[in-house]
Amino acid sequence: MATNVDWDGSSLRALSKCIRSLQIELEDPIFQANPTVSNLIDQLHDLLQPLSSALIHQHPFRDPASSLPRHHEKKIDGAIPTLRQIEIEAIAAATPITYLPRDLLLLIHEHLLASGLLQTASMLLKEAQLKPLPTLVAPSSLVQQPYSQEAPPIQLQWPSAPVPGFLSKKLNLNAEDKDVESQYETPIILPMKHKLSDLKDIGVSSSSGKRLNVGDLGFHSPICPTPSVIRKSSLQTDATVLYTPSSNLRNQQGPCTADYVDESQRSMPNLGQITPSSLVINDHLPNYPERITLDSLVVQYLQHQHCQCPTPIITLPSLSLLHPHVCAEPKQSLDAPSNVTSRLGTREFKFMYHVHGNRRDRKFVYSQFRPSGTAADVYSLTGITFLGDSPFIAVGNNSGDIQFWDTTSLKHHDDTYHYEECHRDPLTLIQSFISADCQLLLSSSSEDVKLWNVSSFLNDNVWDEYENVIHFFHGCKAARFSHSGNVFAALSSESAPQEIKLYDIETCELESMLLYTSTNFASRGHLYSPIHFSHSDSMLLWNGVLWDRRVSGPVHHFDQLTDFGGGGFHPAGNEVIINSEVWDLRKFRLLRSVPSLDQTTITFNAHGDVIYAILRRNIEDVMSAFHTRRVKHPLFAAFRTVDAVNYSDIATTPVEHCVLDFTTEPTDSFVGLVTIAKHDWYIEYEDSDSDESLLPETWGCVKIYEIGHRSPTNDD
Amino acid sequence: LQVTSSSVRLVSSNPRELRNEWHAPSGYSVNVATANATQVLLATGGGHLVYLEIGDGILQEVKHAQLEYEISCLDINPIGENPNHSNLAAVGMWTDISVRIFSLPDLSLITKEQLGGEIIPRSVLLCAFEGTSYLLCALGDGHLLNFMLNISTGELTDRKKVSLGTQPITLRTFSSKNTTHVFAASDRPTVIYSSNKKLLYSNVNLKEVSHMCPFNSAAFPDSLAIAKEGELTIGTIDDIQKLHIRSIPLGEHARRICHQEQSRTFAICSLKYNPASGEDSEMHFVRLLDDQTFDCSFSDDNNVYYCVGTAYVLPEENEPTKGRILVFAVEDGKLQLIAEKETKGAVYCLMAFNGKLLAAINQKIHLYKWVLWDDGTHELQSECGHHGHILALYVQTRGDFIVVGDRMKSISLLIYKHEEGAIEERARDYNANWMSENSFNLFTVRKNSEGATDEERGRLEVVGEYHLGEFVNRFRHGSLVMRLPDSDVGQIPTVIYGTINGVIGVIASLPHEQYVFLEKLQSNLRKVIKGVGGLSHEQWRSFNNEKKTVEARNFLDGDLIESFLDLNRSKMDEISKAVDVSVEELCKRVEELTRLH
Repeated sequence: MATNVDWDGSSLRALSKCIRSLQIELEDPIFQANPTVSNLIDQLHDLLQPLSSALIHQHPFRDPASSLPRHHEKKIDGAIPTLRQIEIEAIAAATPITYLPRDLLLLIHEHLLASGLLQTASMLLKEAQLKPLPTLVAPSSLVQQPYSQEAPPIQLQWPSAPVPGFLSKKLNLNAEDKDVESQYETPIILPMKHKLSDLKDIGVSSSSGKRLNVGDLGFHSPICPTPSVIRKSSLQTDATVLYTPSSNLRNQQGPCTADYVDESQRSMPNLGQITPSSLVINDHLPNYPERITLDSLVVQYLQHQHCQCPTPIITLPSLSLLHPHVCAEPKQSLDAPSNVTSRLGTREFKFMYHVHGNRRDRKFVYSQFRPSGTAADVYSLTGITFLGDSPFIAVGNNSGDIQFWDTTSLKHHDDTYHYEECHRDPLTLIQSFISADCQLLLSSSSEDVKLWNVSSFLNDNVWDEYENVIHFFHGCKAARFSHSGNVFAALSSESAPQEIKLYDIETCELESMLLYTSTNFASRGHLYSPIHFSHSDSMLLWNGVLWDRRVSGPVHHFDQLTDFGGGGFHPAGNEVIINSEVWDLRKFRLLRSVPSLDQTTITFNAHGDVIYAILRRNIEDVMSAFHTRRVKHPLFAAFRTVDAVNYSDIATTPVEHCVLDFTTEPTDSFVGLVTIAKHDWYIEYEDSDSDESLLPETWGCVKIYEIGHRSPTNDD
Repeated sequence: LQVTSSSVRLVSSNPRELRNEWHAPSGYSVNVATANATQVLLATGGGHLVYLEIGDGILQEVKHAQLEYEISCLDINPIGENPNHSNLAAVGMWTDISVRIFSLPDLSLITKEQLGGEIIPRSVLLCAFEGTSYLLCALGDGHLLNFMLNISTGELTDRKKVSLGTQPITLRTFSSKNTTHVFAASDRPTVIYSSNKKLLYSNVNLKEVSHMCPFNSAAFPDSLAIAKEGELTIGTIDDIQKLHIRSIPLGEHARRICHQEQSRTFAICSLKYNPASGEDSEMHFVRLLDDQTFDCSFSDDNNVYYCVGTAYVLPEENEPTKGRILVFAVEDGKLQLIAEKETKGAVYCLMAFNGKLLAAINQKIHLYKWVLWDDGTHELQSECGHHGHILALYVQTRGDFIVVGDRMKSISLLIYKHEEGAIEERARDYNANWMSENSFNLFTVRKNSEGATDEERGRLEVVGEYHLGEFVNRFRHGSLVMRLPDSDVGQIPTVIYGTINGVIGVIASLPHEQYVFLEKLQSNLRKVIKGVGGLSHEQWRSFNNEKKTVEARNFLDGDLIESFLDLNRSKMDEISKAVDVSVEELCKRVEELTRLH
């Protein structure tokens, strides 16, 4: 208890210094001699402890007001991802908090009135030039009555005392009489009861418009000395702290903790709500580097309120202490409704949801794929491409053949097709391009590449290999057209060193070679790395290395976070995707990771806003598609659609068998893919007369899907 | 004052007695005459022009002039400071087809303007609009010439020519709302007025007016007396405007409107927001208004019905799985529900078709027939359908052809086969144009009927592209102005469109030669007319969406072409040289276009 006395003593000294500085500012000799000053000083000395308690007790009062925001926050929690939640908390923690000093003085004034310190209250109003809120007076009067009723018992105990009760108690305390100490503790309970009533009154008053109006008027007063007064007080407090020896500071922290614990225990029987807030404050105390001041208590309180805002704002105006604080929230959601009819209805007279509506539309269209044609073949089909404006598709198989299917025939279950033996080795890749009324075809095996002009076949249904083949390129593989169609790139068939060969399509001559000179060559990864052209054809990407055709040598080596497979240049132009990582093409910075694209080969739709993903495989080994780990992957017999604008998943569409290749066409009406299945699934096609050992191990299937249409099972 | 073929008589209105009389010389008759409060000008045969002044109870011949040709029309309407006295006289001539300005009182010739051509002027008028003096001269073929008139010198400048009809025109001034107007009486009566120093022409909703004069009496204040063949009408002029607009406050958001001429009613589908009970609260109504266009009638049923499509929109569904078609009849001014049909999706569009009902429901087109049961009740029964769309929003028909607009894709052409009771697809535009609608473009497609293969014939070809800058939510056949059967412009088919910003516009299908001519004119206008801040009209009108930007194709900007009439003369001459067509011809052809809307 002696320690407690020391704590009070320090506070008293601080307050005394503040008051003395005020006196100096007034420079009124007469005022200094006034006996009232002495009473004022004594009364202010007793002020600090009740004020601290009052501010602590503000917390349980605020909880009911905060319950609604908290409930709202819980509702939002379910929808906000963890990262977003962390962002919200970081914003709230970083927000600088300020409050209106006048509000604090008004609260002090109100408390003084409630405590019966009428002279001190009026003195405070006078010095700070405050205008009391009219609604403050009535509740205080009501509160005064219970206090007055209890005054007689106190007076009966000391009928001979000529001074107010508080002064008498203080005198006894100075006498170091234990009995007096015991009595000193008892009256503290009474102020608590009054404070509780007072807080309730504040709650009622804070919702009244009348009070709001008066507050606003006061706030707008151009002459307001209050801020400077508070500022000086704070400065004085800081000065005091600077002069206090560190050992004393440490000693004082202990009593503070003890004091709060005591108060918590004492208040528990009367105010159970206080416990959580007190515990929170106790947790904070050991970490608080400064002495507790009114200002720090108020700021803590406001910070706590701000942390509970569902949408905190980092730039806050000065907050009011008279009303609970909640940051503003959007009046309406910017998200578009899921139901397409809602979006259409609004669109007819109000043009909102533009970006989000497009996102919903993409989801609506690219989550529905209706089978539009299918055909089976005894061989494994390994590659597929649409042939421009014609209804034909070209399909490569494991025997080195190229098959030509008519998609309109496939719709009517007509399985007839035309095929030509083109390569000695299995086809690994097949691509098409329309160039100046020529339908070009580029077919690759693991040993060679052939360039075809199939226009005569499409027009006249006549195939003359001598006439159709433009050029035969030996010693290269995995050939790909550039976007403009004037060059194609291929990999060298030689094992090492690895290089990319660029051929001019018009002359069929080697235009340039891009050498891969890294010593960190991935021995197996390159099997999954296709060559990618940027959309202006100025850059190439392969195996994590970026070349610019206008510059000799690689431009950049990307870090290998997962592997260098799949991916490609984003049609929007500024991003490149390598496996599941998205990189900024201007600063080579990692932007994000998209788990949905891991281990995939991707194809963009013609519009460039949707990504199709199929499971990656070694295109030189068809049977590797049936490796155990691969068979268990969700995309083994399915393809996935991803929104290319925000990389969110759209849908995963099952296709029944192992997917080997995928293709799109320019109008975004259809997609095509080839699948294979093992021989044991092919029972219905088995001819009992044939020798089983002569049949291939797997059989293939061509599938055409129409985009945006539901499967026929859903149709009535 | 009374003018007869042989004399001019001054009659007192109070004692009703003849005060004075002027006689035409013997052997000559008065052909045309005009007068104001204090002056009379008349012409007799043989080219005699006689000027009289009205005194106090006396008619005094002041001046006589002998002209070389016969006189066809006269006017001495005061347009100077003195409202009772004119210093100028306008005279139209036979033979040399001219209009002349004489000074009064001495009948000295000031200005002589050859009109050109072979049509005689039949009416001439001096008038002032907004402080500017004009001479209006109407020809016998319905054309009107207007000149700016310098009242000090009598000089005529800034000649313009417009077509107001096909019959001779009578010109007469009247005042409406303290503003001078001119009534042109002919087979297409028109009111001429000035706005922003520019003469404007507004059609009157009458036909074949012979004569008109102001008529102001206690019973008919500020009215006009209008004479037709065998008919006299006294009426008033409403606010001058090209479109007659009438606003009816609904208090709700109108979403659809349908006119039923037989019951003289409009049905309106409207939406009411209820802000008090939350932002998302909506109520949808079908309202009937009293008194024209779309009627829905079924085979074997003489009644007419309103058909309404609905949808159950649930937030958790991607698209509705349930809706209804409601069939209403108008009985005693109220809507009566006759039948309802549940559907497996949102009913986006309904269309009367071959005595049946065509409905666009989610991704499918349904055809319903109207079945009468023995108990006298009716039911909508599904006959056939066609699915091949993602979101069938719009349906239009012509004969047995059905055009479907898909929100996510583009346009399909279907055909209904009566014998088989089936709907088949004939052609389709394979471009995914779902982004175009968000970019405010228009495009046109054509079926390639000459294609060599079925595949080619099944592909709709894009033949026109244009950036409108407005979100169109409705097209309708029709015209904003009365179509006149004898007019060349009247033969041009037009479509009206409405947009979400409240724009009403007209798209006209021009003959090829006219298109080529106007395209050339538009190219040259682009060089002369510069946009604010250097904006390029060509870039603005380029077809533009998120995927591509291409120059506008097979579309012309009527607003730009019509701005030719607002150019000053020197710029008009500049363009006239570039396109090798005279300014008069250019003005004539552009003004013909303006009569489309």
